[in-house]
Amino acid sequence: MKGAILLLPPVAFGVFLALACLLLLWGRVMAPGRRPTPEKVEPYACGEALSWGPLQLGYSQFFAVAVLFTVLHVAVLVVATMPGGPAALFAVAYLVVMLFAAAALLGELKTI
Amino acid sequence: MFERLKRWARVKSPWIVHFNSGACNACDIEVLAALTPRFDVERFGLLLRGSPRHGDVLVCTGPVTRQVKKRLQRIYEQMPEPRFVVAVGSCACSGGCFRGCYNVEGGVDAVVPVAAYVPGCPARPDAIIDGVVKLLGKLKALKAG
Repeated sequence: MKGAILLLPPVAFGVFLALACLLLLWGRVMAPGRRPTPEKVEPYACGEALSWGPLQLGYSQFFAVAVLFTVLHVAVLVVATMPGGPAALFAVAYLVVMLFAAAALLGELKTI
Repeated sequence: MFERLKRWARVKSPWIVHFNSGACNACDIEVLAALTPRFDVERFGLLLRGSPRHGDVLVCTGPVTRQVKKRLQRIYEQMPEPRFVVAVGSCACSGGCFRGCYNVEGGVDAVVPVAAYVPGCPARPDAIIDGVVKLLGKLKALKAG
């Protein structure tokens, strides 16, 4: 079928990735130049100057669970919609990249 | 053409942030009334936002008290450029009847630059709409950057 190649998940992923990059680029061109100041970088607290106390709530443990939960769900989705034949290699490559990304993210979280 | 597109986008969707710098709440009620369907200032593309990070226009009511001065400056600095301030009400324009009080800095322009003044005690929604339209006129003339 003509055009069926566009329906392949890796091709569709590439197309949408390119589209997202174009939108991002368009936004960067449209936006005024970035002029960072200390006030712009600090968190918004209704105009108050935030004083950081010794006790800070952290979500790093929750993030680790959330990352694994997301990775497992996306992996299941990828495996469930995996095309047959040689195209399956793309899905496998995607899974491998995803696992590396998750491992890197979890390693980064440990340092927080 | 690109500059015109940017200016058009800016004029058609100026998002506002409302800040009470020491008002008696009368002007705040009128600002909110201007946003309701009865006066419908949203027809000019205005949207009330809760964070200065999303705002283009800071709508300020009341005189600036010494206690709130630094908060107002910080919120103004946290807005992205280009940013504009509209002083709503006599107190915001000049300090009003509180001008010269020991705890009052003065009008909004004593602390941050003001682009449009809307006098009145309290300023009527019609006057606020007029001020907004005049500000949009200024935005049209502004060079997109």
